[in-house]
Amino acid sequence: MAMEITMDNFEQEILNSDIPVLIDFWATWCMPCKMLAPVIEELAEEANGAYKVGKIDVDKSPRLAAQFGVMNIPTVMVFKNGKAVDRSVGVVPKSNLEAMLK
Amino acid sequence: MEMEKLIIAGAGPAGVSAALYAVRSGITPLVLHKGGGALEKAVKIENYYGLPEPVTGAELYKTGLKQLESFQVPVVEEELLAVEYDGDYTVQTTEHTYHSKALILATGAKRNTLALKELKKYEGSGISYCAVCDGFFYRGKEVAVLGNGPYALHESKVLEPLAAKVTILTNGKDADFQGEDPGNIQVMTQKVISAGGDTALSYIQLEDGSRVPVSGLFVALGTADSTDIARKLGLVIENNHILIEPDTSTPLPGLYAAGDCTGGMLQIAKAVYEGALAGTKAVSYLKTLKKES
Repeated sequence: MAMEITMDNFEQEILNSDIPVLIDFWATWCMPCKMLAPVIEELAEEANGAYKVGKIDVDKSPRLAAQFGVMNIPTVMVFKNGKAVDRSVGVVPKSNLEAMLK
Repeated sequence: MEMEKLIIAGAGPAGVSAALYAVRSGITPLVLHKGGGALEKAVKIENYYGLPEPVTGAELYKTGLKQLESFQVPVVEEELLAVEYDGDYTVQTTEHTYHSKALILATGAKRNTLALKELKKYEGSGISYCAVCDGFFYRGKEVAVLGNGPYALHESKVLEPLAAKVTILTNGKDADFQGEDPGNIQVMTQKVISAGGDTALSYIQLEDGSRVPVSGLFVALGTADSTDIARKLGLVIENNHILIEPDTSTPLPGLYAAGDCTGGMLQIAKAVYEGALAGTKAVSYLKTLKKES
């Protein structure tokens, strides 16, 4: 299951992670986010320790969204060695997100 | 609340074909349309089956509407504004709000896209296609909506309670809100030349060299087409087309798309086929609902 990322665990789970981290910025009221959610969960189930998957609720953590310049939801970002290396805006096929992790 | 079984948005080759297959399978749909789009502009059609003489797109469009009339399919001429899904579909037009169990999107594909190279550059950092999704990020900020019709005004009204200021940029076209009052929303009719900003969008440059300071630009050109609606419902959009399954279904139960909006050959033959399939599949879906209830 994708872990919930907040200001409290952001540093530990993303910035200090040894493996790539895929983060989904979403909100409960966002219909496209609901449609992307099963794909995010599938990626989390298939990670097998190769990467981590997290979700940031922009209502609960607006500062994190602002910090990374997120202005659309859903936005998916991939972090490697604590740095944002790729982002995707809107609902995209799973293969696009998998490619971001490679 | 009156609940339709099936709504079909669009009355071109895909929409009419969907309606014919649905009605002949026992489900009378409600068809919404707003003119013939690309078809109406076709001067001469001679590569479609059964036409001994070429016909104009406008003639064919009228024939399609007459065909629906002969099957007593209700048709309303209203512009589509928005669709929501909560188990059923809520379809908002310029005149009414309708509810349905299934929906077929067949409004064609938009031809009037804006050739503004910065649209891609600032996608994700100031450019948005969904006011209801992204308005949240522009609380207290100045935003603009690109468009000149009821759809642009609808998006502006969604943003108005959130943003510090909303400006509609018509890009050289006359504003036509079909009698709706824009209220405090400023309307600027000059042509849009470019968009700029450092890492995120910060201004729109107009033809006279003046700059409109904005943090966000919401694109709502022309009428809300199937792709606009599908994007807001969370369907995958690729190259501005809706990604559908081979049977025209989508990840949302009871939602189908057919015709130019799904890409491929922008031809009547393809639209008719997809419409027929969508109409048939929508009826099958509605029958499964009936069995379950």
